[in-house]
Amino acid sequence: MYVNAPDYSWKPVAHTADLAIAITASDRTGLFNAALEGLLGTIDLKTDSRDDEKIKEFRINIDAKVIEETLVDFLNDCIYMMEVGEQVPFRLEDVVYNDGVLQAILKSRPVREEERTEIGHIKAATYSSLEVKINDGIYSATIIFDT
Amino acid sequence: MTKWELGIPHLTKEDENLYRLGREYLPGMRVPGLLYVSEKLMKQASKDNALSQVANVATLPGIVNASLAMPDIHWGYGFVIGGVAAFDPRRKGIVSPGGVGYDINCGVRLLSTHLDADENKKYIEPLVDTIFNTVPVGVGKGGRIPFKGKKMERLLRDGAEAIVDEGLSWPEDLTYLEEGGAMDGADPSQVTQRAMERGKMQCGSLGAGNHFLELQRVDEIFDQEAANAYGLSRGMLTVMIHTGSRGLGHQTCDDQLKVMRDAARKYEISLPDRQLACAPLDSREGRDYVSAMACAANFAWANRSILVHLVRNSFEKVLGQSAEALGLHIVYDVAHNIAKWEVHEVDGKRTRLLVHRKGATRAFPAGHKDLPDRYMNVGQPVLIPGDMGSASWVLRAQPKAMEETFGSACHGAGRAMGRREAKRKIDISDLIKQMDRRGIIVRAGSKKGLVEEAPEAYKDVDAVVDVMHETGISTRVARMKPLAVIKG
Repeated sequence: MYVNAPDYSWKPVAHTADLAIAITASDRTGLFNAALEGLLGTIDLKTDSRDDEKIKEFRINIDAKVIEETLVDFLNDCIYMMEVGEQVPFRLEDVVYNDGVLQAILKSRPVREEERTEIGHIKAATYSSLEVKINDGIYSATIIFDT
Repeated sequence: MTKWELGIPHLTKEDENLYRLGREYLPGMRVPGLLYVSEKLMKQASKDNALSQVANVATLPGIVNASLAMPDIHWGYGFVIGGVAAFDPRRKGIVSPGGVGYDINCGVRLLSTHLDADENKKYIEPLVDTIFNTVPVGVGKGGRIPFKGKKMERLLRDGAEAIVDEGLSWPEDLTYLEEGGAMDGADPSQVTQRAMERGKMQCGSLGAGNHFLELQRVDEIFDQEAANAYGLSRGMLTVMIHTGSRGLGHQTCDDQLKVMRDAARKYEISLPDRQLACAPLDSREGRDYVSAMACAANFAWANRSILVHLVRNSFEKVLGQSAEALGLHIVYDVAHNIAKWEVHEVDGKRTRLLVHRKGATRAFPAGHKDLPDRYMNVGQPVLIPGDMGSASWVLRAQPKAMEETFGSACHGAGRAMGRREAKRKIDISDLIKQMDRRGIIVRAGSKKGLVEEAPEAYKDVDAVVDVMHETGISTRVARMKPLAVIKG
């Protein structure tokens, strides 16, 4: 079963050694948000923000050659932000994607106390078997995370 | 030669514990795949994408002889886990971060003691509690000693020796670490600030996932000569540590993969999987990766040395004697995610190759120049951690490993069940009861993580070891049963 909004979604898929997700979206903005929510959902982190939490906004500019590499770079930046920056990125807005280059606003909130044991469960998003496919205007991909 | 009965195309059974994946399996394979597995393990391995990953590696430039898989083979990312591949620079061979993995120099260290486990049973629980309260365990748990600036550079260049100089490790420890605890050619300038930032508070921490620290009892000796050389005897209390290069290694791999994906395009290397991104060994990108990887490997040896320091302190505190008097000596330390320059015989000629081991252990036999004097006549101890409910093994590397597997053996039991499947199928309270029935004390940083590591999630380590023994690649020396397990 896919989780999330109608224009993008993610679901866990089986993998023997690590963790994997399948994502779908009606556009590239949705694809990146599906990947982000899939990353957070995989380690049981919430994609919400609370009134008492200070929300930060980061302007991101990821310069890769193809969308698969952009996706991996984006997710690994998010993993780094959680592990080192102690911020949980939860929403991507104002997305502009062109030929591997992603420009967007990334919103984040502080890591919650109960989430500290989850941060770091995923070492990295991998390129393994990653291919973004477009069928009837729907984008889809499977992403394997190293755990 | 018989076609394997499950009918996988181009997979043939060569011997009782050896299968060949023919070059016809995947267009572009330069060499066949050779899998050291029993029929039972072959059936498990063929359930997912592991065979395709063996085939993918066989397409890489400069690969020598075969793409090898050990009996703990399972589906990973890029290279198969349990994979071994050697590349020849004279045949345009490559280096691939995907052949090492994110946890660079994930490895195992075994400590012996002078203690009989049964006679000291009353100390096991206080020991495990003291260690659990001393060793930073679990994701997000950093080490107690910050490594920054020059101190970090020294650590990356000199590995475990830097910890000796800090006064936290014994000088003789270095003799019993693969590579002496530091790879040559480590250049800290190849490690990004981002990687150093991610690792600066993590040296001296266990981490999570499949990493563990166990108190064990030597349950059975199978080879007395080797056991004597390794300082192991029946009933002995031992300590096994399994961890790697933590966030510094993960980030180094990620950083270098970005370089490698561009390098693969630059050098027009066709890749069946982007995770196999690579560069020629004689290219700047290839050399830089090997230097950066060596730094992360050195970080991992230093990490395990600090953990040994914390274990020795815990033993001293609980037993009221010095670690020296308690005989807390290192039996050996092996790296099982690494790429190393080694000399092997290819077509009758001694050839310098870069051997990738991704979930595989170096296994150098008696007489090899890289062994410590004490092991020169018996061969290298090969440390094989099992799951937390069954057993771990010490094997003895045999000459056949040099003849057939580039001096390599398996690295563990290998997963049989995915992490999500384990969480779905295994109940935490049942698992704790099961461990209690077996008399194994468990301390864990996360209950969720513990379920993922349940014994049922792993293959039978004895079956994996049987293949190594029966093929003569590495033979049984000692089996250790867990008494207490600390998991991240």
